[in-house]
Amino acid sequence: MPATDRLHGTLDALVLKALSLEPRHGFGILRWIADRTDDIVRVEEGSLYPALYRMERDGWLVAEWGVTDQGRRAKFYSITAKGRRQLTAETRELATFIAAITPVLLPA
Amino acid sequence: MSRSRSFSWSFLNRPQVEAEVGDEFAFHVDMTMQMLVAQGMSMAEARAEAVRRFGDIAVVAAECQRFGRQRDRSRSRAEYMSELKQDIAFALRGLRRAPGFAITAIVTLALGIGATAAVFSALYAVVLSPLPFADANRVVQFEVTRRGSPEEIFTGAEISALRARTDAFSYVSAVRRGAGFTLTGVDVPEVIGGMLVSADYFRVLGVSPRIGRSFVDSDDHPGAPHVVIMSDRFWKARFAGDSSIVGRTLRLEDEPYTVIGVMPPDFDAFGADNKFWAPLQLSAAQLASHSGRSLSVIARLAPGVTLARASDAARGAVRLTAQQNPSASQDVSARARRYVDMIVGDYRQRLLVLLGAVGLVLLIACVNVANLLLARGTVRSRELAIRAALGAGRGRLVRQLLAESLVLALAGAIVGVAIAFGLVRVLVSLAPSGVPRLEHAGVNGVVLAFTFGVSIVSSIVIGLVPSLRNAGPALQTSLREGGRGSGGARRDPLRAFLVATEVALAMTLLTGSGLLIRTAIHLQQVNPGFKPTNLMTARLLLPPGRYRDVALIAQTYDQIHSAAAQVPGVQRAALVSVVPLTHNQLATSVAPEGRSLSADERVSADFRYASPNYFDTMGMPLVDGRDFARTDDGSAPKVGIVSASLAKKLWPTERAVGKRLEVMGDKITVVGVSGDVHDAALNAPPAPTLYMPFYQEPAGMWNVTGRSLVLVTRTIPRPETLFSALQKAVVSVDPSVPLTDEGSMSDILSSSMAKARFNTMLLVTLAAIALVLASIGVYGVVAYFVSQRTREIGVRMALGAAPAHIWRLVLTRGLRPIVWGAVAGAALSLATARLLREQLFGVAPDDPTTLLVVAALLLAVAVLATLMPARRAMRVMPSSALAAE
Repeated sequence: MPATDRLHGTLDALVLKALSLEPRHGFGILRWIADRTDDIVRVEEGSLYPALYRMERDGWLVAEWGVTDQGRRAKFYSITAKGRRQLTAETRELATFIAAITPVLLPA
Repeated sequence: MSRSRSFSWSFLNRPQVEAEVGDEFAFHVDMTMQMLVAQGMSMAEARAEAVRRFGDIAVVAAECQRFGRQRDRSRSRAEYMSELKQDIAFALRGLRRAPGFAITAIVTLALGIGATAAVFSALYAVVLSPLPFADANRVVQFEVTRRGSPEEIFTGAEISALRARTDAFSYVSAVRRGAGFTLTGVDVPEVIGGMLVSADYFRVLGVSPRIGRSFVDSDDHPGAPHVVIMSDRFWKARFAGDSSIVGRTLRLEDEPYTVIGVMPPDFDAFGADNKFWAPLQLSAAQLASHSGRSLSVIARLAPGVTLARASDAARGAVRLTAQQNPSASQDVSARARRYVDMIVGDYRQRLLVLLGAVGLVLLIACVNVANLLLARGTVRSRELAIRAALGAGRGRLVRQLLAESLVLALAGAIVGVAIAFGLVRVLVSLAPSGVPRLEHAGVNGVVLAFTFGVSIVSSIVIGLVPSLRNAGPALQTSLREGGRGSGGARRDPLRAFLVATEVALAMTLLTGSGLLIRTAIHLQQVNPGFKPTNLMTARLLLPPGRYRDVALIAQTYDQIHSAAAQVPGVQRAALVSVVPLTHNQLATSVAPEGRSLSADERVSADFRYASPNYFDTMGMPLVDGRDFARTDDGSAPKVGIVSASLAKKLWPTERAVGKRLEVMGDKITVVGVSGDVHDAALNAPPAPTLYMPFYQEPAGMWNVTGRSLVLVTRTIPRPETLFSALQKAVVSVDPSVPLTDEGSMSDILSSSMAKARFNTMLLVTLAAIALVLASIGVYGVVAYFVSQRTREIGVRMALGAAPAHIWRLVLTRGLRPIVWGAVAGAALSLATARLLREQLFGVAPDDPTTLLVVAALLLAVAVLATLMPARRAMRVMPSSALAAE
């Protein structure tokens, strides 16, 4: 698997994971990822939004305009059944990938 | 419910997607700013940082928009498909609930679509399908106009002049069609028809033989060894497709011909009776000759040369030739015509008229179905109103109704294709012979595509009008009125319009066929100039080997003549070179002796050689002078008999008998004047004709005619019964002389009208179908009107309305659109009848009698169709009508 696909896959998996718990807007997804990784993983806006539109096009996500807690209009994404299947598949592949490279890069 | 959801076109989404991305990014930037300000940044710094985090924000936005648009497209496609599926399922369900309606509509449409597809397949085979020539549009045939009358035959000098125009033509070939060669040295000798052509012939057409080689220039030199190329059909029929045929020698006209090639099968489509091609081998003298025209000329245009330029070049060539020969007429012109058009001839026009006619029938069928849908729509209006109330947009409702008509039309198309399969076969088997390529007509991919297109258009025609009305704003009233469908009982201009349309279309077809019927009647009344009943004709051929001497030929024919006359049952017998109406006329120019006429003043006349008793046998009157006698032989002074029209042209004011005329270098004395004969066709004026005794036919002419004469006998029993007795009589003179192509003059007469009769039959059939469909339409509408007005009629009768009043109410309602339709139909008929002009004889396209008779017929049928439901209206019992509420 080429590295770019791996990177795409990782970003997709993170976004899908973020949405698997509850619908969020784009900013919320970034905050969730940053919080969960203690600000170590910083997804860029320029990568996130194209990924969101692409996944929406492919039917992994659906979007709906809603209102935030602060009363602002925002586009909320939620995961579809197809997206959940994709999340499972991505997670499994990522695990395999990490299992494969860990002994190489971090020998015990 | 938003309207845009049901009509979501992707281009409408563009600003939406842009706005969506813009709003989303703006929200994100705001949120990031809030966060950064909370962390202690200034507003300005925070804004700059928030935007910076997007990277190149324009590129990112563009990428998002691209994905967004793809998302919207696939979404609206999916939505459309699922709605379509729903609509079709809905339509199918509806049709299953009304099988009577569905079957009526499908059968009506299938007939219309099937007939249209059948006619189209004939049009495609004959006119539209590509010719088996390379670049067929670059092949032209020349036409020369001498003194105002166009012809297609050229002199040798003109052919040479055309050949010299290499600036305009890549290849030029002279062609002699209808050459007949006697094939001997095989089990059954036969006369085979073929073409004599220049070496360039196949280069002009851009076709090569399937096996063997094409002609080369040396084959075409006078005295070169004879070679021949045969047609695929003849090769298969006569030589069982044996490919060792190439190199073999055949005996044609008693000379050896080497077979050098066989043409491909699709080349057969041009003249089924053309079995071979051989080089013309024109001599230098022939190619310089200013007389003796018998060759037509085809050419391939040089690259970049237009048809107009080709015509200019041809005109230049014939004018140049005329100038070189001062005694010839200088009044000449020429033009190049597409060879394709010459082959297809007037079939394009005829078939297009037919397609138009069948299209009108289809249109009437569509209108009938639209009417049915309209009535049904009224019945269904309650159901539709409920759907509308439940939130279906108007566009969606229209689409639902269109889906119904689409289902009907496609079902009609499927049944129609099955009908077309059969109809094409009937059409091909009934068609007169000689229609080029018609035998290839069939339901192929192109025809199927055409049929599919026609059914889509039909579905729009039948669906759109009722849909728009049914889905219209009147829906709510139908809910309020308890679904009695009162909408349809109001004045109904749409329905009346449809009836008027039907009547107008039917009237157009009826007028066309009326004109053709009148033409047929006129043709029946034409006196052909001879008495066709109990006349048998059969062709005699003297084999070339033995019969080289003119005296022997004349003597043998004389013996055959006598032998035939003595066969029991034969009243009279005669010999002639060509019988009327068989398109084999020979023509030349004649002039009265002593008057030195310029080339322009000479009279063109058909000529034929005949035996004594010819006029008597044919039943042609001799209006002056005497018949030929046995004494008018080769040693006697040359004599001739002129037809009345020729006599009038040569000597307008004097008696022709006793005068002398010049023809083909001879001077002959006129001994008689015969009645005129419609030689070319019954609808063409009689051609001036010169008859000469066959005893005096020169050797050169015997060669041109293949030493052949036609035996004509007037018989007491039916002509066919005497054929074998006549054959025996011929064999008793010489067993090697074949008697072939036997037929009766009545058959020749009727086959000369076969094309016209076929066209008439087709158009009359279509018109009859149109009449039936239109009267069904009228009946349906009036019956519907009555059924909707049952209550009103009942009330009126209960209140004491006179029956006459009810009659008037129903009849006026029924007849008004019919009268309007007839008026429109008369206008349409006048406009379209011009298309038939060339097929008419003895009747003008705007013939008022035909128009009046057709209008009367149409009105009579329409009144009948109105009367039936009107009678039902009279029987309405007031009590039952009111109780029905």
